[in-house]
Amino acid sequence: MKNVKVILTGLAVLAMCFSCSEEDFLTVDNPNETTTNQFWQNSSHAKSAIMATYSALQSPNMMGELGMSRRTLMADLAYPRGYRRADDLFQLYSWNSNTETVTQMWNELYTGIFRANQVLAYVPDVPMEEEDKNIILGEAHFLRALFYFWLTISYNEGDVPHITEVPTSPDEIYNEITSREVVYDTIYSDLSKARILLPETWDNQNLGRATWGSAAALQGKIHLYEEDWGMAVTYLDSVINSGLYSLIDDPANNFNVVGEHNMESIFEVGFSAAVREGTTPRWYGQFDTPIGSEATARAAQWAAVGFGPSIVQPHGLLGELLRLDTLDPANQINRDRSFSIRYEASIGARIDSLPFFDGYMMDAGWHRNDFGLAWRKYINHNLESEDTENYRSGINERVIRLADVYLMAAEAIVENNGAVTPLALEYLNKIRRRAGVVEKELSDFPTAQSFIDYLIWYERPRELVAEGFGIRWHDLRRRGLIEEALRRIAENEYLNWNNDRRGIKSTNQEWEQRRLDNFTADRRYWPIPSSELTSNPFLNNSNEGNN
Amino acid sequence: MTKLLIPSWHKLQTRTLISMTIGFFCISGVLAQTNVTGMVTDSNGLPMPGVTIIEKGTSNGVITGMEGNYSIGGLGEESVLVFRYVGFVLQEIVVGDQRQINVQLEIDSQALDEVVVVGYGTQERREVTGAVASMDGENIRRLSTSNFQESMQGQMAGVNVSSTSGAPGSMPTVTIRGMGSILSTGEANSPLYVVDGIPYQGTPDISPNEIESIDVLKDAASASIYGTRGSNGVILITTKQGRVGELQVEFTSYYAVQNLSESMPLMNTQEQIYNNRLAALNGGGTYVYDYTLDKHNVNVLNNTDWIGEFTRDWAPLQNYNLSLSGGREDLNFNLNANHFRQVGSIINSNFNRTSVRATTTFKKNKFHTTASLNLQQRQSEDVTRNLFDMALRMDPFRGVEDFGADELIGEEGGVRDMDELARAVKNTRNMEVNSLFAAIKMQYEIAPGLSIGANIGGNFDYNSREIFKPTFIFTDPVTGEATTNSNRIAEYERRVQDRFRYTAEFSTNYNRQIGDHEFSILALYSMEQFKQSVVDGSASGFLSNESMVFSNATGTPLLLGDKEDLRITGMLGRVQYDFKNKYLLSASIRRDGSSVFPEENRYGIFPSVSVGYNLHEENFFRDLVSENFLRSFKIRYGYGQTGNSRISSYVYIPTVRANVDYVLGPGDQHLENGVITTDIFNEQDLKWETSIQHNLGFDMEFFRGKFGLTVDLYERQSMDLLFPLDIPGSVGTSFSGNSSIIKNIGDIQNKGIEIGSFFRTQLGQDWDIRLSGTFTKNKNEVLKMGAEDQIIYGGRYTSSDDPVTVIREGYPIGSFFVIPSNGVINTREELLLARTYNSSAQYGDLMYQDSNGDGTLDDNDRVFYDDGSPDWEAGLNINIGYKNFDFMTVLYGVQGTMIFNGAKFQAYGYARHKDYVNMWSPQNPNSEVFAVRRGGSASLNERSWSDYWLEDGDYLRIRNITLGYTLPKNIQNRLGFMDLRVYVSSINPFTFTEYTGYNPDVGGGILNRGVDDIRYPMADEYRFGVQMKF
Repeated sequence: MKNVKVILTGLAVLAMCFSCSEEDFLTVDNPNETTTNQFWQNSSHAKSAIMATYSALQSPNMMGELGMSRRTLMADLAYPRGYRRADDLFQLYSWNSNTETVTQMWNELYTGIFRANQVLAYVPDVPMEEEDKNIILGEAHFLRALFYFWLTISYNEGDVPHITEVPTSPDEIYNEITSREVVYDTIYSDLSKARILLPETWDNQNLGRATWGSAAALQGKIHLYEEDWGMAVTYLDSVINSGLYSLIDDPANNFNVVGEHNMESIFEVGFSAAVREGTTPRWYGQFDTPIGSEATARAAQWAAVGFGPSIVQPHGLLGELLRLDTLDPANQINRDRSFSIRYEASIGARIDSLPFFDGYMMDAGWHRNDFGLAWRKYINHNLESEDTENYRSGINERVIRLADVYLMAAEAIVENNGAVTPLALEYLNKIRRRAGVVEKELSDFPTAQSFIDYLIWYERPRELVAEGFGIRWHDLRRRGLIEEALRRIAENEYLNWNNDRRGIKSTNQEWEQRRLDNFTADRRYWPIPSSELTSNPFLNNSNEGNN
Repeated sequence: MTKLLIPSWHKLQTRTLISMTIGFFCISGVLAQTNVTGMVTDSNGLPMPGVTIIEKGTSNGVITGMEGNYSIGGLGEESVLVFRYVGFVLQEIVVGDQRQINVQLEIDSQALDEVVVVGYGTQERREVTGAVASMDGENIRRLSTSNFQESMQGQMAGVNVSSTSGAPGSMPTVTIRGMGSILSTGEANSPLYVVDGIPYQGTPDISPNEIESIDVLKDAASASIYGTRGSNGVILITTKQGRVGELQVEFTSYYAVQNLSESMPLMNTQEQIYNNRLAALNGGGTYVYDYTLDKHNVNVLNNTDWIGEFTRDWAPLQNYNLSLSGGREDLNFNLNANHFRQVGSIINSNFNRTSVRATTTFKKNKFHTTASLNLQQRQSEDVTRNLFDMALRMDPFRGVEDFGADELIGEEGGVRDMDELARAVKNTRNMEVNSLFAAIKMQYEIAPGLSIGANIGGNFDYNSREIFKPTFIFTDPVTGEATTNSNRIAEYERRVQDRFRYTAEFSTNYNRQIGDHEFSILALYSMEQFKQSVVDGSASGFLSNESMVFSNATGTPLLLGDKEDLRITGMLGRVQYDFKNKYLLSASIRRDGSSVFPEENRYGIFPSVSVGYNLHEENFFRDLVSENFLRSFKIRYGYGQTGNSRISSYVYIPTVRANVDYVLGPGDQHLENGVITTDIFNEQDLKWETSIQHNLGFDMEFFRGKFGLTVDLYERQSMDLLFPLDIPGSVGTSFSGNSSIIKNIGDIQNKGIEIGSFFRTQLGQDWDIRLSGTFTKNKNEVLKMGAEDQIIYGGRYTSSDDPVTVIREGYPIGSFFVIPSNGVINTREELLLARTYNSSAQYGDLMYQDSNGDGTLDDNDRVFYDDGSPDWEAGLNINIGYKNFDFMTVLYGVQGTMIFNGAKFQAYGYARHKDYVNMWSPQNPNSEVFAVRRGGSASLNERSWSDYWLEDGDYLRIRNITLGYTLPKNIQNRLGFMDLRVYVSSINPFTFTEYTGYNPDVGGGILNRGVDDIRYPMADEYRFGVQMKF
């Protein structure tokens, strides 16, 4: 009987121990991550949050390599090597609602918007210095405006879901498509807040954060795209006349690490080739993780064969625009120079003997380019490159720089006045002077339209090729000139600058014709991605089954 | 020869127990002098050891020895001897003046006497009121599959087993009574496994040799005693237990070879070259330069079968099992050691499993305890996931490289995919799982009929995954320099996961019989905890590919890790009532608490009730139907509620994410810490998924047990289904956060019928014929979705392909919804029509049907096709014994299902599929195969969203053919064996199907059911085995 008691008591005690605190037993905290309740408590949280919002800019299809490649390939100044199928899809206007960049850039842009919305929702209640708080709010307004602007110029003729709040329950995550006018109202209101809240400059430690100038220049650009010429002039001139920016002497410094955040830069996206301690270096960036680097893969992917796969190649049209741009012999910088400084900053040909990594241009793999050309812009060609094994690039992607602002202002002024004004001509010539090419005269432009044509067909592509958020593509798109551009390259032949075959014209006529054939008006925008349509109940409304 | 007599000091207890078993409580005082000897044999005349012989009404008893011999003393002329052996008909013989009594025991075909494990207890088959399917260990071992799940396929009605992958060590998907849950994450749809009373987190990998029996609780009335985890059914596994008697040694082994017989038709070099050029012309005009061919035209002489290059022919598979069992009534044991080893049919894949299991039962007075211990090691080498993919992709004119070397030859800018292929071959992944399982079950009888018990068990497993990415150099033969295709920096990754779970259960049991009323009452409280922690380390840069460990890394290793803690409590009450074996009732209620849900929804209550009526016990029934015709007839009805809580921990707790960094400053930039919420908050009021099930069953036995039939009808409604909904990209979490959100989204229903039957007969002395068949029909329908007209898309070949299945009200879950296609555009009219929805349509493109006629082609044009679950499935087992030969074959077939042919989709995508030889061209205008385009001008043809990729998935498969031979008794004796059987068998030798992919047995989770994302094809197997008993 004694045994019974012992066993019984033992079991009872055990059972008690286990069961007395069932509530406690069933309550477990997540040991892995900080819960949202513990966040948004102080100024350092607010700063981290706005940095995370900036971080969205680096994503691969936005300002990362995939986005840069595909937007560049849609326009007329480059063609793909055929290394990646998706590149070809964009060049040939064969994308569809399930093509990777179409889906991914959408997700990335809304990721940025989600983060900006969080900052705008929670930072106002964070106990911190009012001044710092306002700046962070200003940055969030600026970034949100930028993301929405990019969305509207890329997708569905500008009609996209419009979200300005943080969903607090899963029922709030579905949004209908809003007309672009409503989206633009938010963009303008965000930008006007940003202009008030943002500082004019930042100290060295904080270079790269948005400024008043970023917001003003963006607003100018949006008005230009909207053909609201007067407003465009106002904002673009305010940037030019602010005295905060000036053209730098060597345009190459707009496309390398050395020239980051120079006087010409108005807003740029930060990249860095530095690899986090203890992690495996890769040639591409690894974002939002504790490993790898915040690098862009553009330099690696675009570098000429022999240095990289050269997946995006300069087109012969670009070669001719830049190489046949007449040098101004009077300009000092042209001493000992056979091609313009702007050409050298952008592309090169084998015959040029320009330095290229630890060799010369001639070492690059020319058999891959139909025109004997290779990129130098945004390629780390000046580095002996301690990193040649990995080709990570830390070059910041410039989103808006003063040269763009000058050219946009010139365009807006002429459109606004219906005539070429001396100021507009001077803006154009500022850019040409810096490039060391002959300046234009008023007499060169008999009509306002001839000036606009010159900007669109010659000056902007020379200066801004493969830059910003697809500047060339959007110039053609907003001006309705895509088809015209495609026709030109399909009908013309371009010089091959390869030393061996100098003077031989080369192009792939059938390929260009296919581009022209494929292009239809609906290809000016990407469709709303299939993944959005299939997951958003407001947008999916499938046909009844009939099997 | 050896006569096993129970030693006298042991007699008393044995007597007591034996008496109790038979149910006699009076001990005879008669003492007589007679001694009887004899031999017990089975119907084949083989001696039967271990048969219990007792003098009826006394505690005088013995057990037969090795040769079936026995000797029992102390008998009188009036004594009655009772011969008893599990599974055989009990025989009673009056001693009279006989001094030698030889007995032949017959197999008891009355399945109703079978003991069934029903969860927290056992019942005799006749008492069962729920839908429980069972399979004994003998049957499992006979099928000798690599894992126990496969042995269940087609053997138990209502239990669907699909082998998703032929990779060594991979386990098939098991679903009971259709898709009850639509949570596609993890094992949400998998049943709960309970091994020796301890619920398992995940799926156990137990060698079929270690299993005594498998019982499946199919209906909710049975499963609801497992509460929150019972909604997908419960699989109860009982491992081998000790048996009383002299030490018995059993050794079984088999050796098999595997062969990939299924294939995908691909183009040969000639066809490929022609096709590539044509594709380039279709795509963009001129021929796109092909490095492999144009630079080295000697390559046209190659005709590489890349899949063959990575396939092993006659890959061996081996299994060894040693089992020891013996002991006395009060102390017995079973020891089992098993080793299984499989070399995969694709290179770089292997699996081996070693397991030792020991079970001991100890009884003393009113105390009863069973302890078991299992130590297991599983090791596997996994083929890199994309190797098979790469093999599909590579052009046949590419030459084979020796990928074993560290230095490979490859020109700069050369063959594009060679580096990827080299990586796929050279990168290896090793997994190792070491686990220890220990459980102890104690029971003490406080008073007659009243006992208390505790069942405490734990499982620890240590899981390691290593990934090696060695360096290799592609050297350019011209420059002699390493090319960019090289992998210059070696990488090594090791992920270590340790998991611990324990269960502690405390129960009180009361059994009482009052007249014809028999009660059994159970009260139970249980607690479970599951903890895991993961450490994930990686490092790079090693001096040698041979010494890839962290200490040798030239870079600083990086460590990551996380933890999880999940807890469940349960409280259960159950009453079982039996009146005269005629009317049966079982009712239970369980309250569960789980830490995965927020506080408000933490507890769930799951009631159940079921009744049974043994009609054959009624006199009026006997008057109507002869016992010779219908021996037994039982009607069962059950109702129950079960839950499903299989979501991961913490999903309702919103978190922020660090490392969302940015860089500021010029030149030497500095990293700025970025922290933000990247996920959308999950549902705050997540709750249990509840399912309510009705079950009506009939059990019948005809012709004196020769033919048996069990029919079950069921209807199951699952409410508040938990489902990870895709989040629209516009929410902003898809790029760097969660792309889905768990919600309770709607209700579904499964209705079905299950039929299980058997037929056994003996023809003369020599023939023994046993057939058993199952038939299952299940109909699934989504009854309601949370939002009206909501359609959830899912089921993709890869994450970047278009979804092909949906969840939608009124349709089976995971129905294929795709755009109908209608041949190839061949006439001007067709082209103009196609241009109305797709401005870039060309001749040779797939002609889509703009189903909703809105002039655009988009997801709204999808229409319903079938789903990936079969309308019905059937299995048939045929066992024929002739003298010493035995023959077995197992057939399994499904009907009414569709498959998305992923392998074809992939082979088309890579422009490798043989169909392209006959593709559309102006010269071949009647082809049904669309024209492939390369050079970037993609058409819509190759999107996965059309019916072009859907195929009929019906099949009939011969799963097993076995021929065995048992050595004749006299030869066995001479060789010193008790039993010796050899057999040859073939696994999956024939499949009859119209499906053109690899394996029509596709399986997969909810939305992926029927989506064949072939990564590792199934092999067929040819086996030789031996079973010995000493």
